[in-house]
Amino acid sequence: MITTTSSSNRGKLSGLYLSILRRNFGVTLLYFIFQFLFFPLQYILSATDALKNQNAAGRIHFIGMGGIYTGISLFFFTAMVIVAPILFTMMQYSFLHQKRSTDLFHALPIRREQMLLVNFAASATMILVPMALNYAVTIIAAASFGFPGFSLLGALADAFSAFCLTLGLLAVTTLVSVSTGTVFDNLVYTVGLLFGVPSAIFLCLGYAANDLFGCTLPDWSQYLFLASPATAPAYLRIAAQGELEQITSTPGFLLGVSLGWLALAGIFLLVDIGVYRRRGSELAGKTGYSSVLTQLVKLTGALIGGVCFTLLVRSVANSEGLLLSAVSAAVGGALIYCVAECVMSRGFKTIKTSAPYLGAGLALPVLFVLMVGLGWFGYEGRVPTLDKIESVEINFTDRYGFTHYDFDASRKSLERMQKNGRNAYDYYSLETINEILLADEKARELVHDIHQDIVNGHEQEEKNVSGAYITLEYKLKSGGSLKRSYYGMPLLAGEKYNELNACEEVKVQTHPVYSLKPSDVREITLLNRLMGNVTPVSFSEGQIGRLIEALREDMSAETYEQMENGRELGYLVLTPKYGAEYFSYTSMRKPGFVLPDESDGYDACYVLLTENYESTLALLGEFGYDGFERVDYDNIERAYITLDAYYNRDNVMRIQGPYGFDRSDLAQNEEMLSYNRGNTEITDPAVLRILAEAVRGNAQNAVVQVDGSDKQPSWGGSITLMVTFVSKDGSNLIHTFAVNPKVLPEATLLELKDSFNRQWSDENVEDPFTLVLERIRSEQ
Amino acid sequence: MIKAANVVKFFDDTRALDHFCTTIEDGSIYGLIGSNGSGKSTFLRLIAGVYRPDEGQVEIEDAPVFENPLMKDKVFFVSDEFYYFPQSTMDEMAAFYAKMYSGFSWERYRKVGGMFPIDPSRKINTFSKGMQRQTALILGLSSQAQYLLLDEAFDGLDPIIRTALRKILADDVARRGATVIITSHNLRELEDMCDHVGLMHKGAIVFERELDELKLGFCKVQAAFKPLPDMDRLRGELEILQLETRGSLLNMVVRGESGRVLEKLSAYDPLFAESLPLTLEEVFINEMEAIGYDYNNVIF
Repeated sequence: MITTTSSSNRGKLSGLYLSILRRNFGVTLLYFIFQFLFFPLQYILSATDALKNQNAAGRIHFIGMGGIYTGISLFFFTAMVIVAPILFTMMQYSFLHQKRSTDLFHALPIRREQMLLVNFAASATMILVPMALNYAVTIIAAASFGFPGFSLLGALADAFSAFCLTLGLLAVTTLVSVSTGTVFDNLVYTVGLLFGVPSAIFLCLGYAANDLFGCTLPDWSQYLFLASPATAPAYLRIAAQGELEQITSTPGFLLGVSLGWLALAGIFLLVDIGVYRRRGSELAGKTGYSSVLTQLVKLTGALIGGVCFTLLVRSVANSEGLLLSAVSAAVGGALIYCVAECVMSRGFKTIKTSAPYLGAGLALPVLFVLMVGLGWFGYEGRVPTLDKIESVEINFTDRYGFTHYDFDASRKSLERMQKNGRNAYDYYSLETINEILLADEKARELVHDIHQDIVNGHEQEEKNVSGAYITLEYKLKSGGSLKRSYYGMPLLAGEKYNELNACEEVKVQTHPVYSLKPSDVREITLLNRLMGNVTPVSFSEGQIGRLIEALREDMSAETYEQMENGRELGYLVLTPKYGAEYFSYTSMRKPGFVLPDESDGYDACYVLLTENYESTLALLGEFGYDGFERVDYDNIERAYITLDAYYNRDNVMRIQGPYGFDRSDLAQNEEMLSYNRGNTEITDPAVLRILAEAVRGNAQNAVVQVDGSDKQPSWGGSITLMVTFVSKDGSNLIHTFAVNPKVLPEATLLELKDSFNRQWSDENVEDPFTLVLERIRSEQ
Repeated sequence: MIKAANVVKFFDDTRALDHFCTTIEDGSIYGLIGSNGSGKSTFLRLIAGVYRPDEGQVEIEDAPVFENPLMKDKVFFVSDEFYYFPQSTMDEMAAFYAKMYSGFSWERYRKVGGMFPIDPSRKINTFSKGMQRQTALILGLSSQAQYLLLDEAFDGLDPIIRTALRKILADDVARRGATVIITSHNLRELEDMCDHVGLMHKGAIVFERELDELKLGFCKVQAAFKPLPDMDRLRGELEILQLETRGSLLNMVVRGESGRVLEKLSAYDPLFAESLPLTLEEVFINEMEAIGYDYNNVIF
């Protein structure tokens, strides 16, 4: 008698599920081992090594929200989290891409949706179980070792996000699998969809930001990484370790992204089922299958190709002409579309039938390039009228030469970076720009005028006279906002730009003297206007309090006229204690910021004293510090002069750090100077005296220094000389100052001209000294 | 009963089945022949629920088969291109099918498997093509599906295996009332297996008949006369479809039952007259010529 096996529907599904797991046990085990090697084992090895080495134990910092990653594990684990679901899904649904296997699976007495769900569940099991085990091992190890930075909740949140994103990735990859005919197509379209689409969006945003006047990448653009489950894990784990971490490392954000992708995984799964149910088995092994998805990927490729080819051609042709851009975009787009079509169809036969899509592939980048080139529907010239502006936030290069940093938002990032052994300089150099909120009507009007002048200058193709930088964001009464960013501006805007320094709101929000507490001052130093005659000052806390009050009073009272023309006397440097609540932004908006130990060199509160600082000077006299401004001109051995071209100012500013001068940062040695192209050495004592008397200090805005001429050098720099003095007394303290060239004797200018021409003879750079000499002669 | 009503199936612009209609009764071994690309495999895949018809309907027991697990549980499709899980053995494949098909019988698997020189614990990818084909047949037979679809499954099998399989299939049909559909582009492969045959051409059935009925309708006769009889008279008495004369020897294919034909021939006083076995191909040639098709253009 023959007996038969009972096989209920549930039994069939569980049988299929177990069969898949059994068949893929080896690869699952391999995945577990790889993850173990690059995730928990890395943690255990680093932790064990740190315990053996006392020095290392003090410095070791594990990263990630839960503090469970090393640098290596963060990179490799993230890579595995992205790659494994793609590979496993492709492997799992490969039965759809071979006729033989399709015959077997589609003949089985199982409905399509059940087939897909069982395969999805099996793939998820094969990926999530090893992941869960490795997370568990790592978390247990981290809890056992007890290194600072470990957070169980953080680690669990991290694991949860990994699980959710994996499910999202599986669901999206499944969609491609059920939409394509071959394994190769599956691979290409998966990569195209998961990585190509976000890349295309970023490329277009970058292109627009580069080409559209005033355009800057919108704040939300970083979140586009989260729109693809393949880029989101990298964004959340790796990119977020840098400057973005302050946003993404909050549990709420991580939970939101995770739940979002969990929901999307569910939606995609429903779409997967719908597509799979409609899928014909005869699609197996078929190349060049055309669907919405495949066309989307091809058109994305065409867009990327068109834009990249445009950038390439423009770079080679050294031209940004609209016609050239459009033609390049058309050629690049069509080329990439044709290549994609031929590769995916394994031949040229479908080129003719895909002509409509080819047209779209050609038109897409062309339209984009044209729209950007034509100003994106008036984007470039849009300036809101004053009556529509509620307030404006700006950032700009202030009179001390610095842009402002968003300490508030990046505080957490700094702390984490310090945990990872990075210093404050890394932190500062990475930080985003802070906004200075201007609600005052006159300040708003000034910003609005600057903006309008910049736009007008651009429309009239005026040459920018300065490399000055400004970002402005209007909050409109309608509730909207408008943000622009400009590098360089015409003369008219530049002059108004300087006036921003005189706005009370700017002063209060940018200068640390407005937030410094007397009890936090560690050291006070007075210097003359050439950074010499260093005078250490010893004040009581009460005196310091009075000094700070006087500084605030004088600074607030200082007009733009006084800033421009006030006779400079010297500098007052207030260095705060370590651990002090310090930066104005932080102390005003986020109490509790602690100045880190590593901040030495970036922490001084620096004030340029002019004759208009009457209260401060009176107080210094009362305390017995008259005469600090005295300059010993005989101690100047020689000077080096160079043009204030953008590159030079940039070099100087870079070593100064944000908002705070320190002698050790400013000092350059002579060896460094010898490499500084464009330097001319001056040793004539008479000229040295002229220079020393004429130089303007670092606090004087040297951004838009023009000689009043309409004619400007072709390279766009202002005609300001940067002078570096070398002292005779061997202190080797060399400082750089700005000077108007018109103060110099003609012979010196001629010498500078010859020197400039000699040193720049290999490049097509217009000699600016001829212009200065012409100007001086005409005035005479 | 399998019923295909006006089934149309396209592959891109190619019409693989063109208003295909047929009915296959339960308990029969149905041979489907046709040249490559005539639509045989497509029809089997439609019955197996692998393909969805673009038009028309394929039904088993009056129920559509596509996306119908209840019906698909009664169908086992042995494809012309075998697929086994990578690195799997026949035992492992059997275990898989045992979970999938409610009728799968391990007892039968062992019994049928024992009739073939196959090591069930050896990896299938080490098998020859013929052995892989046998493996597919063993698994199919073990599923005890009501409807067994064999797509060119017998091509290339050696005579001993063919004989064994013929017995098993006949047993299945007799014992369980199973229905077997076997496709081939070679009539000779099918003639000793099937009780029904259908001929497909350009996506449609051009001819189908019960084999016995077919063979009974014709006979091949060889007779010697001295002298030869009056041929006009002979043609008047017998419906001769083919006639070949070699000296005094006549070879004829005649419509009608052989006994009756021999009886009529005896009236012409032959030196000898005997009935010869008629191959299925010969039957087809004559039947198709009778309905106006050139058999050679259809098959070859």
